[in-house]
Order: sequence, then C-alpha cells, then structure tokens
Amino acid sequence: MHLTTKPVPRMQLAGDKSAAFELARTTLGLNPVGFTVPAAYVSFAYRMQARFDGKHVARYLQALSDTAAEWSGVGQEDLQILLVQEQSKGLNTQKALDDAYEAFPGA
Amino acid sequence: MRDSLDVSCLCHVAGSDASPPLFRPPLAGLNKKYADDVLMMEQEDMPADYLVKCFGDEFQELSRRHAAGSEELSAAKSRLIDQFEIIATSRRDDAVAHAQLQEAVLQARREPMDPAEAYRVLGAAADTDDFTLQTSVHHLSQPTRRRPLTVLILNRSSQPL
Repeated sequence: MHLTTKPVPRMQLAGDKSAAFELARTTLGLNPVGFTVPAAYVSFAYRMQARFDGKHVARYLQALSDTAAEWSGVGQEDLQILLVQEQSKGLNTQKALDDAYEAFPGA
Repeated sequence: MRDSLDVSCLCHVAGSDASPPLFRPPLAGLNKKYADDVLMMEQEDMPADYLVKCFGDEFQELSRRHAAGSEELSAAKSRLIDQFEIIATSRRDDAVAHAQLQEAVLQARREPMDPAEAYRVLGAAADTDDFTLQTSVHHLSQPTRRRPLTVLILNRSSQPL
C-alpha cells in the first residue's frame, strides 16, 4: 500500500508585517515563516528567553510587545495578558529603558 | 584565515625597520565621558557609580533650570526619579549595582522638600507665624468630619493645639 503525504494546511499571514514584527520574532528565536504559529509558541519562546537570559529581559519584553501589537492569529489576548502580567512585575520594555537613559545626557 | 597579525608587516607599512609603537600612552585629558564616547560602551554595561553621578548632575541641573518651589520643579524631579528607577530595575541581575542605584533613588525621594514648596502645600506664606502653621498641619492631618470642631476650638483658644 502506498501512502501519500499531504502538507498540513497552514493559515497564511494576513498582510505584510512590519520590520519590527519580523525583528521581534527573530529576537524571540522564532523562525521567519509565512504562516501563523500558535500564540502559545510565542509565549513559550518569551518565557524561555527571559528565564535563561534575564539580563536582556527588556529586549524580549519589547519583542513580545511588538509581536502582540501586530498579531493577526488566534490568541492575541493571551499575548497581551502575558505582556501586562510581566509589566506588573516591574519589568520594562526596551523602549521604556531607552527613554529612561535618554533622560540622562551623559548616560 | 590568519589568526594573528605579523608585526613585520606593520613595520613595512610604516616604512621603518624600527619596532612599531604597539601601545600608545594614555591621552591627556581623557575622562570617563570621553572614554565612553570613544569605546561606545553599551548603556546596560555602564557602571552604577557613573549612572548615579549622571543622576545627581541632572538632578542639580533641574534645580537650576526651574524656579525654587515651583510645580514644574517638583514634576520634573518626580519624572527624573521615575526614569532612574526604570534603569535601576533593569539591573536586577547585578545585586551590587542594583543596590547602589536603588539607594540613589531612595536618597532622591528622601530629599527634604524645598521650603517654598512646603509653604505652598500648606497654603501659607513664608511669613506665616508658627501657630497658624501648626493649625494648617493639624487640619491636613485630621479627617474632614472633625474640621469644624477644630475650627471651633481654635476660635475659643489662643493656645496651640
């Protein structure tokens, strides 16, 4: 008996994504693919990066923020909830950190 | 791929057989700011004491820029402290640096209020007598429902509460 394999149907990404979105996915360690991935993958990627590279957690939180802002698939609420949860722990995004350094001309 | 640079090549390029000066003496007038500009140090790697110095300088600069006791000065100081707290929070993985930065934040928050600002909060002028000032403080510290009673006592007595 000959088995034929069919490709798993994927939901194509709707519209063109910004460079910030693609950079955010790369920062989180997700490959740049043309179809949507479950939001749980993004949450898992963020948690692992933040856990094992705590020094740069601001970059990963910024990546999570950029990803959640342009997320077109199912689970955008989950990403935004995770973002708010992390910010409520006192963590800041890279943009907030850059703005803070901007307040000090010598730094 | 070459892993090391042959010194004789440097001599040839320099057009001299003498040993090239591999290390230059320190530049005159080299300070921390210049070093940071030259080395392009990452902000997240800047030493804590340098950041604290920047914070102190900017804090004093605000006092020069705004009128003493003005609302703008208070707002600007609060904003600056909040910004520095964000920087301090980002150094949580370095216990020593984090403690040093947090201490600077706490000291800035503990700074005595400017006298003009204090008078403004109490709604009093600088030449207000001590008794009236104590009354104002007492009013502010009392619940609203007790204020009429306090005013009544003040009207009946000349003694401080």
